[in-house]
Amino acid sequence: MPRLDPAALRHPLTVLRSRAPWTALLYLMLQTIAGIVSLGAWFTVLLIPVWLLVWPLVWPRVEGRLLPLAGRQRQYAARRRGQMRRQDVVLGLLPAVMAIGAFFLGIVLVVALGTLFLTPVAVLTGRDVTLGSADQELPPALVAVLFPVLGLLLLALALWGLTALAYGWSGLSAALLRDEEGRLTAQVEALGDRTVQRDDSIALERRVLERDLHDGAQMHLSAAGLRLAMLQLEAEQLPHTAGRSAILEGLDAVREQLDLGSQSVRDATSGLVPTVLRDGGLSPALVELARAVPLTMAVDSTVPRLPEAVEQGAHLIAREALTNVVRHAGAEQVSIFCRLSDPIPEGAAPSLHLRITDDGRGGAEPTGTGLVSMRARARSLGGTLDLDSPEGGPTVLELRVPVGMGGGEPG
Amino acid sequence: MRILLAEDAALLRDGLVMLLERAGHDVVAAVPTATELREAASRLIPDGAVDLVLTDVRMPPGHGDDGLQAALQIRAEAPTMPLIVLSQYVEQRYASELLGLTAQDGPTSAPTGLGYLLKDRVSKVHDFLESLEVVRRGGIVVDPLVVTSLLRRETSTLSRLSAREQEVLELVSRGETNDQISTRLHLSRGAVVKHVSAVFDKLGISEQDGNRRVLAVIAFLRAGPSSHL
Repeated sequence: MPRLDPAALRHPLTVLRSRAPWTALLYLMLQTIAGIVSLGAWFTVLLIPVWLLVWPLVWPRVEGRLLPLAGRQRQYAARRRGQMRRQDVVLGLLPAVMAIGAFFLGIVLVVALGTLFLTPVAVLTGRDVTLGSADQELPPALVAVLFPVLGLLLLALALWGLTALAYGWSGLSAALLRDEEGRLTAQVEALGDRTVQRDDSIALERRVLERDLHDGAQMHLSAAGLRLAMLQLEAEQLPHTAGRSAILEGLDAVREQLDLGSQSVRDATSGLVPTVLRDGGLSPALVELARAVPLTMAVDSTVPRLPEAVEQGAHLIAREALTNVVRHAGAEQVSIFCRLSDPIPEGAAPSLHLRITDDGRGGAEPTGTGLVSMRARARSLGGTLDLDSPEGGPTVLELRVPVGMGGGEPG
Repeated sequence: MRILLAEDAALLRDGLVMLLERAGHDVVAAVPTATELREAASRLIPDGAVDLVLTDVRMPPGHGDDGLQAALQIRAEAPTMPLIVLSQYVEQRYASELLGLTAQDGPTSAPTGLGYLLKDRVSKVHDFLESLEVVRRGGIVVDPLVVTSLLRRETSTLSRLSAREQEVLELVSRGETNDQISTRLHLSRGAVVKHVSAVFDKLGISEQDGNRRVLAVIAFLRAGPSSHL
């Protein structure tokens, strides 16, 4: 459904050539039907409590989906289950207003259009119709031509007007539907998603950089070392002269520089890529992560090789979680538990279950930046991240990610 | 000695062949992939044509730790085959895996004839050639950098050792004899023996345990939370 450009509404011909009037008419009709349902409930006084309980929950969701008919963007009512706002009640009253308005507007339109189109028919079929004032009667030929033309004009005007009405009306709905809190939440989530994308591209660049350094710079340094070793063996065969010891000393100096070069490359590449994850998979990588944490760590992880994205995602989340524990939790003991759950029901994809528990002070905010990006990463894997952190602890972080085993090449 | 060599970079492979032959060794085969290494090993080793296997870690086909996995398979089929892994990584895990430390109950017996060296060690040509001899005789050689990176980690077992004892243990794990250690640390031979037995003591290695030096290295490498695995 194309979005309606408000500026285009000023050009009736453009509007009438599009589908907009017809979808707008459908929108108004559906509003009216909803209004009739509401009015019906109100007049059956007993049903009013039911209407109050159900309608403000249901109608915003329906209305949000109807908006495209009126040329506006679809809106998702981002409410938590069972949440009802004042705006939702007001929104729920709108269709009834529309139904009442439609009743009167409908009468006016039907009478006007009926007169304009049916009168010429009556005149032409010879019925006695009095038009105009008694002393100034309109000639029948004029009626037969003028009235249908006026009727068509009125019809066009009505369609154009109804399109505009639907657009304006839906604007009111959209304003009531708009949910500032929900919008901000969505924005935060989008930011988290972008962070994940950026981190992924950084990780990719690092992998390329690491490979280039190892296969390029380091390889040439090693090759130079080999030639140096050969030279040293040759030089040692020389007769003992001052020249020989000068050469050997020079070779030593070169080797020192080579060692420093290798060390520099090693320092630059260390930590660029967790090789243990690439080679050994998630379980040994979690052990390696735990090693670097200055707390009492217990790791219980028995998962097979998983698709690369899942392993890397879970590893990053675990790393972020452990960083948070060290920084904020004031914990002494941390346990990491990781399993591949049995597929339930039978035949479904199994899921990775990672749980990190610490005995710290608890009270972790689910909106902290670390958690937002962890949650975004979980989402990018199609999984969920749950945090349970009551004041006083313990804090439990649980990640669940479905694992399509198709790509699970053991590396 | 007769050496089976695996290294994927042609530049390094040719350089190693030249160096080894210049040092009087015989390179019976020099292959560029882990697959060919397995194949050459299963062809040559049963005939007794190889004295030592020297292999890179990161190699085709997988470009992961394929060379290491091939090495482990070779050792599984020929448990006493002297073998050195040449790596560009200071990766304690590779060394642990090579020495069988990540197995569920640890190594069933003390491993012999194994080495884990960094590629740039080759430029110290005499040390490198000596390492080949040590491993061929059944010794264990682990690159000092790998060992040092372990030492930085505070671990329950090793923190009970004094600084001097840790230093001695590090040298032991490089395959050095008591005499060599005493020269290097400027200690009397008696002092070295005292330190070494203190290390054995604190690591709980008794007189009956056979190759105690190797067991000490293993205890050293095992230290840390990897025992959760």
